[in-house]
Amino acid sequence: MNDNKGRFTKTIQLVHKMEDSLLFLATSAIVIFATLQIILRNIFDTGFAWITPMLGVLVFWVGMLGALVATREQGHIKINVLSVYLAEKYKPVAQIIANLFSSIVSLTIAYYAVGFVQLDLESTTKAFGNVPVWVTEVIMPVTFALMGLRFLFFAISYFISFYKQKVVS
Amino acid sequence: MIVASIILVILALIGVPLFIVISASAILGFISAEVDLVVIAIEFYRIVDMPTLLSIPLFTLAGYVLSESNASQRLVRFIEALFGWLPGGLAIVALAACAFFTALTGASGVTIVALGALMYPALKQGGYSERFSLGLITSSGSLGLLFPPSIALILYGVIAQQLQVSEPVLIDDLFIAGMLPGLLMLLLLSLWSMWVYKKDVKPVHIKNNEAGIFNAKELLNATRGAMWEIPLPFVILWGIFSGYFAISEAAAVAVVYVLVVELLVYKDISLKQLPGIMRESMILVGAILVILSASLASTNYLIDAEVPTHIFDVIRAHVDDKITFLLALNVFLLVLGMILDIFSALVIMIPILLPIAVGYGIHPVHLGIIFLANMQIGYFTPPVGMNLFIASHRFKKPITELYVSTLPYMAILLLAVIIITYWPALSLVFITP
Repeated sequence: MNDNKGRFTKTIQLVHKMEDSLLFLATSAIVIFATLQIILRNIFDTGFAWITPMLGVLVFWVGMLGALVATREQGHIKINVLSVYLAEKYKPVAQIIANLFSSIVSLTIAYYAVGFVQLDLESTTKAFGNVPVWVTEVIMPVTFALMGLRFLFFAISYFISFYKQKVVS
Repeated sequence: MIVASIILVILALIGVPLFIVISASAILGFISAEVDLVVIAIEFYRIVDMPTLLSIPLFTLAGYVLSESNASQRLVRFIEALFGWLPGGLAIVALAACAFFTALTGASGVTIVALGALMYPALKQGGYSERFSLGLITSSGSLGLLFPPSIALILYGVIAQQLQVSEPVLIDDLFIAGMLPGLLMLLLLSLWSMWVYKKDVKPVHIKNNEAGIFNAKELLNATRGAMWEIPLPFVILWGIFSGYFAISEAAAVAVVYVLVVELLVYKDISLKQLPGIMRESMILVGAILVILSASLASTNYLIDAEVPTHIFDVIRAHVDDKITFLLALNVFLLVLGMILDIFSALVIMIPILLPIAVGYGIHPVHLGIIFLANMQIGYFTPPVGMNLFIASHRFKKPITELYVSTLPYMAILLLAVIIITYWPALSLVFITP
């Protein structure tokens, strides 16, 4: 059991590390290729046709990965009015509902994003260079599925601590 | 549908992330219109074809790198040497520095965190009351939204371009239009600071400047200290307005410039810190872009369902002149700004508001400036303005104390908003039709 728990924690840590690394790589790539494009255009009067569409894809990836990491760090933009003024004992309930709902919506989008990728799986359209368009879209189902699971974990952990609190009182 | 909308609003109020709420509304809309939900994923992916968006991660990264470095100290020292000797000069220094940082970081609270620690003790040391100093820092956390390269202005431009309701809204035009209204806000707040200084503050000896006396040697030293950072705003402005670079290219130049200066020249930031800074800044970018993506889907539904047209008809029935409409718009935006942050407000409201405002003969560029000027005040409007919470947390002060301290600033900025709203020429004078 303990061994299983350890493995589970390790897997989660590995996923976090992969998310962070991928986000770092994509951000660095944006800086590097945006700069390269300016240098090529202004100094050498040349350029590669694939850079602009690739930068567009990278911005999308950074947005998706940034949103995924934001879910982990509670960094999403929210209104949060009621949770400030809500009575202490209702706060966990609000959290459980909020996270559960977020999980359902994220997983729904993930499901249809899989359909979106499938639609383009057969297509010969290239996003840029030789990269087929589905490869660039694949980030969407992956990040939304992970976000959905993450929201679900939050909901469960709020539920457990809420339940324990009830038992104690 | 109405029940569903009410439930969604309640969910937003208990803290469901806004991109989830917007996505959910799009999903419900498409279900009721019997459209295959794959369209949601297609709409999300549309971000790929918006080249201007490239500037958002780049400018944000530049802003975060700057705020992690000691640039704020060097720049404040420089502005202090330049203006600090004026009556009320120190307060003007704080205003100018906050405006500069907010333009780069988009009022995300970074200004209060990065500059507050520096300016709040300095102001108190300079003889200003605690209430004045707290109010100034808190309300200046959103000052500068109208100056280039404000991310909020870029986002407005991107959304307006998507709608194609009028002549194309150019981001360069928005940057030009924001200048005078932004300067008006700075000017009014500076005048107020000078007045407070004359009335309440006894001239005291501050660090490097004797109040009232201009110190040329200090200016020289401070200039030398910030030699590499002073050109930055000019590099960005030149990049944007020379026509030599696209906005996203100017953003790339800004990032490279900031990275070279802070990593190699001043060595404030080590290469090891960079991944962490990138991560922090991209969390904000991700949070903004995912809201934008979600809103592309919901907007698509709104426009298909002709919601803006219906709302316009209703408003038209009650409001027949432009002035009344603008007045209603001001009140509406102030309330909206209390509840929503600027990015969510832009993506949710602009698709509805822009067609209506254009119907009343309001220039789309002018609408952008009005929108942001109003939202700026919302950031510190009680009871839930976001910067009130950030400042309360940062300076360990009860939130009620901040409500009181920001009141005069709110009055002044409201005056500015009224001028900006009813005097379109202030925004549009340099725009070629």
